[in-house]
Amino acid sequence: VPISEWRFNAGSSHPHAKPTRRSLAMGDIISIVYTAVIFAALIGFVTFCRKV
Amino acid sequence: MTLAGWAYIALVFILVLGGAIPLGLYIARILKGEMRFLAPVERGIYAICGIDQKRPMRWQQYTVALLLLSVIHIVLLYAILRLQQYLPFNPQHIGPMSPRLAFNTAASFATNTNWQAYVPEQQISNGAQMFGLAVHMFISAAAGIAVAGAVMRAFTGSGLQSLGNFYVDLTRITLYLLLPVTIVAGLFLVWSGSPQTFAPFATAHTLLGGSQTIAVGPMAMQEAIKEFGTNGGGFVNANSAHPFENPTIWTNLLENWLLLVTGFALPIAFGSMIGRPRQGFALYGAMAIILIAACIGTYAAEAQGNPLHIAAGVSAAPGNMEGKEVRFGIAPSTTFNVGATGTSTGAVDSFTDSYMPLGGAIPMFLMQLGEVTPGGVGSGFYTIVIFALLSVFVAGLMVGRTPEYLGKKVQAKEIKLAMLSVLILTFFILVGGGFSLLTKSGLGSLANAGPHGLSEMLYAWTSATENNGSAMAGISADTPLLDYGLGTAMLFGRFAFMIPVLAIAGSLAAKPKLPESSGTFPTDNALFVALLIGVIIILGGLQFMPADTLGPLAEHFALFSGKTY
Repeated sequence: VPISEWRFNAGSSHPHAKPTRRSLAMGDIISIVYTAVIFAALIGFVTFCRKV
Repeated sequence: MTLAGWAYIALVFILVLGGAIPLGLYIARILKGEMRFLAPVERGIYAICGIDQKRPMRWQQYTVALLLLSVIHIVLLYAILRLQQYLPFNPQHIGPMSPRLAFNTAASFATNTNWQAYVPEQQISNGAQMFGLAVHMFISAAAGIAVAGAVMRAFTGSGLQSLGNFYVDLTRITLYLLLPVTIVAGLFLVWSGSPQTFAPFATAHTLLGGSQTIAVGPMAMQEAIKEFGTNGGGFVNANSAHPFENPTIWTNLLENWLLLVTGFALPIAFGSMIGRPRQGFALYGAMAIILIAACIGTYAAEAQGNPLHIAAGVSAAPGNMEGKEVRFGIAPSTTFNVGATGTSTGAVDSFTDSYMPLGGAIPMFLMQLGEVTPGGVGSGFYTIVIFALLSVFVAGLMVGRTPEYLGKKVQAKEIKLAMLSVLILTFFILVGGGFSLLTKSGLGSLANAGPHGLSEMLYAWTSATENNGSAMAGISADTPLLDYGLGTAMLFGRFAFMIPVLAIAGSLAAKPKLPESSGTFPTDNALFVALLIGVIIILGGLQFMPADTLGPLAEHFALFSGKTY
């Protein structure tokens, strides 16, 4: 096994599941919306900590 | 164990603990605004970015500024990773990263974790490494030290409404600390043989007629900030075991020093900021005692060798050399590993998956303690302050005194927030790790069965939540579950911990500073250091004891009865 594949078993190489343009766009939307939701929760957590 | 091994370990600690003192005094001067030799550059940055350097920030404003900057940087890094095929400095024509892996990587580098679920030399262009990842190594490190500075200011006076200005702190730490040290260390690495180039990868032709692609790029500078900023994200997958990232034993020593020194310098800076150096030395002492004990334990575990190898006729003399660089041997490898997990660096020059069960358990336990030995740049300091508050609270309960720390009364609000921050970390590690092991996807990520497999998953969630970033080599991390799950753990482990810490700082800053009396519990003596270590181990570590028992401890006893996984 090449050393580059040692640590994480070749990371994201999934040749059997070639992504389509549509699935990539969906992935981008999910990732960005998910990040926004997490940071909205963190801002809410600031308010919570202020009120403790 | 050898004399040379002990000498190497002693040398690392002498250089780190000795170097931390002047560096800490220097950091205190930066945080107090006394360093001015780059004042024109500083003013230029404020003018371009529209920063009013005299504007004070309350803790809420400081926190929101930190969160906003972080979310903007996550989106920017995400865009770079998704669009790298259109961006310059991509001689290998590397394509875009997948959306979920880009999310994981952006969260990882914005939180100072540097968890790498990708193979850098195959999946990230030189340009994305330098202008995406390396930039975030500076920003996340500076943000951590800025928050530490804000916590220090809380103890400097009475009735304070401001914790400083986040953007000013960020700018000064980058200009006066991170950039100068990175440039000097980077030049030393270049001189030692580490590449710093935008040239395409080299191709070597072997004696047997084959060819081999050798990754090169702007490695040296990234290596320097990778260690000094306790980041840990390697330019290549083999990280600091690669001869280009870590060419000689001298660069190994330098990198070990870089990744540890700031964590120990910050308590010294704290002592200087509040005008009570002994208080800083108490925190520094607690950090050092735990780390030295961990280093001795890991060295002993690895130096004894693997009993199954020895039974098969392998010499016991070199110790357990599986997964270690022959160039370095046991002591430099274990010292580096303990340093990188005692801080939030997560860089490796040897591979934890191949350590003896107890040798691998100690680095994981250091992370589970909350990364306070000495922890990440900034995060180690403010986490140990949380433990110090809990210690005076415990001491107050035992002897019936009103708890106070450095003249600030510690009341129900601060203790609730402190426990909240500790429990957030525990929640993500244990619930996240447990849930992953219940799913088919999670089990499919493991390379080993039994206790070793449990250790791999537990290590991954511990590393992500504590913003360390190292991994046991066996786990396949790029799955939807782990990309999104560990990314979430990194974000909450970083920011949901920082928020209560800044709330505590804001609350304490506003309180009057009480004069010391005969009833004040001293927090600068050996008794307090012992109490603090006890609280760190009991509150920080024992929560994970059942899981650690089923993982590395069970594997240890199984190994000595001849069973491997």
